This record gives sequence, structure tokens and C-alpha cells, in this order.
Amino acid sequence: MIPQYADNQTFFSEEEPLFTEHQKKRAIRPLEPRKPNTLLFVCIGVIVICLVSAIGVTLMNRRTTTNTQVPEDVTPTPAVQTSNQIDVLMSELKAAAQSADPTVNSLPFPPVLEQIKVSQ
Amino acid sequence: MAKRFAIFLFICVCVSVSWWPIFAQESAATPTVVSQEFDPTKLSNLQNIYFSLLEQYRAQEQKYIVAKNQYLQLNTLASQELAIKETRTLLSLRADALMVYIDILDEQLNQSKGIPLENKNPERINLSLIKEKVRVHKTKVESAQDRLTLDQESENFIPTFRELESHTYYTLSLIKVGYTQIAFDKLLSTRDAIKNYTDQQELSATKRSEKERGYEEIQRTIDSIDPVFSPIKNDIYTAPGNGSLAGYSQLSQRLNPVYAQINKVIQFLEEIRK
Repeated sequence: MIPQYADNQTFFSEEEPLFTEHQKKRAIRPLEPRKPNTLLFVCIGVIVICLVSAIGVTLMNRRTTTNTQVPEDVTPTPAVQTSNQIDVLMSELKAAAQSADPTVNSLPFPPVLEQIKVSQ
Repeated sequence: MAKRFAIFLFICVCVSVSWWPIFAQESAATPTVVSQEFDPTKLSNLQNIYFSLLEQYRAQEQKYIVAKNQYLQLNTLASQELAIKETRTLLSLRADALMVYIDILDEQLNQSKGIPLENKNPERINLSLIKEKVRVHKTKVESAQDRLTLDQESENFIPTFRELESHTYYTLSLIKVGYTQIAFDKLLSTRDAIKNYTDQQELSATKRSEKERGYEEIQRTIDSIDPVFSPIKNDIYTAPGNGSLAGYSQLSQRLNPVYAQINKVIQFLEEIRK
């Protein structure tokens, strides 16, 4: 029964009766508001921060290794103090020059047949 | 609750991403060359395996030639079976030798420090793709039982064989240019080291001016290298994968003057040291 009031203009929906005596007993108990689980939030937050940071480190490292190749002698050679150090440098230089000899090919293409068939 | 959780997650992600520039700075501050630590035995092991395979291939090639000629002369089923067997073995050995050769090329390319990564990496990828084609060819050859299938697979492999040849000579060109670059870089650093050393020495005015003139001549020789070397590098770096035996021979001829100048500077440095 819909309650009527003095102004004859105020109605309350039958589905949501104002007065408790008009409320029907509901079959399902209304949900209680959940209490925020602070500890769960913190744990998930830490995991997310670690994951995203790990991704970031991996990406930065990959970018560094694929985009940069430091030439052999990018760091300035320190002032050499002894003749022995000069000897070592000269030996290395001669070895490097020997590798650069354009008349030497240490890796010729394999001497194999291009066509290998049973028949002609 | 869900909304609050989503906002919290978003804040966590933002905080984490904001740290990325710090990681980038740390990485940039210490530019380590990842490929510097090479296994010194890997290349020599590969070369040993390669030479061993080549020996087996040469021995098998003789058997193949004998069996094939016998089949062509006798034209019997027995001689055909033998020819098929020897052909299959030879094809398999050839594939093995080619795959190890590709590994050697790849390792040499990897170890060469004088080649820019943007030229080195694509070529390494190309070599790995070709190696995969060779591996597939070997699998098909080993499963082929009759003469026609074997011959067809051999015919189908010819484009891959030529592709490998082309990339081989391009890779060898890259490696040679890389070695020349290394030698040039080493030349500059050694010249600086020797200059520092002689500056520390107590020399007479005559001796010192003599050495100064020597360094000037060295500098002029060094300056004459780049106008010759740079176009060579440019030609190689801008024509990826385009190699041939003729092209490689031509590269060797073009690099000769560069090599000669580098040796000249080495000789000057030896004289200055005395």
C-alpha cells in the first residue's frame, strides 16, 4: 500500500519504502561495504613497482647495448711513463696493421661444389 | 573500492616509470661494450671443426665422383643406389661445412670492433637466416631416398648457395674495413702516447725540433688517410649484402694505399722513438 501524505504530492516509491514497517523482507542481504585492505594494496603496489622497474632496466640496458659500441680507443690513452709500455703499444699497433693487410684473406669461401647431383 | 585500487595502481606505475631516466643515465654513464669479452677459444674451435669437415668433404667428393661416373657408365640399379648414397653423404657434408663456415664468419664479425653496429647486426641476422636455409636443405637431403628428389633439392639449393657467396664476400669486406679502422684508431692513440713520452724526455733543442718536424710529417700522412678511407667505408656501409669475389678483390686494391700509409706512419713512429 502506497502511503499518502498531507500535501498529496509526496510519494515514495513502492520499491523503496521510507518506513521500515512498509519494507518487505528481502531475500538477499545487502552487501556490507568492504573495508579497504591496506596491506594488500601495499603488497600489490610493491610488486607493480618492482615489475615496472625491472622492465625499465631491461629496456635501458638493451638500448645501450644495441645502440652503443665504444670504439676500442675511445678513452684517452694515459701518459705513458716507460719505454716498455711504448714497446707494447707498438707491438699491438703492428699486429693490428697486419690484420688489416688487404692482400690477405684468412677466410676464403669454402672450396665446395655448387652443383651436386646424381644425374648430369 | 575498485576505483581506489585503480588509482593506486596508476600511481605505482607512474612512480616506477619516473625512475627510468635514472636507469638510462646510469647505463649511459658507463657505456660497456657488451661484445668485448669474447671467448678466445671459440673461433679456433670453430676453425678446427671447419678444417676437419673440409677434409671429410674432400674425401667424400672423390667417392661421389667415382660413384657418379660408374652409374653414368653402367646405368644399373645397383650403381644408381651407390651414387645416390654417395651424393646424399656429400650434400650433407657440404651443408655441415657451410654451416660451420657461417659460424666462423659470424664470430669474426662479432669480434671485430671497427664495424658500426648498424652495419654489423643486420649482416649477422642475414647470416643466421642463410644458416637456417642450409640446415633445412640438409634435413631434406637426408630424408630424400630417390635420385629425382635428391637432384631437385640440390637444384633448389643453388640460389641459397649463391646468396651465401654474396653475403660471405660482403661480410669479409666488412671485416677487412673493420680491421683497417682498428689499425687506424690504434695508430692515433699510439702516436699520442709516443708524443707524450717524448715530451717528457729531456732533449736538446735540436733533437726536440727534429722530433716536432717528424710529428708534423706523421700528422700530414695521417690526414691523407681519411680522404681515401672514408669513401671506401661509405661504399661498403651503404651497400649491405651486396658482395662478390670481384667486389672483394676491388676493395683490397682500394685499401692498399690506406694500408701503405698506415705502415708508413708506423715506420715514422719507430724512427721518432729512437
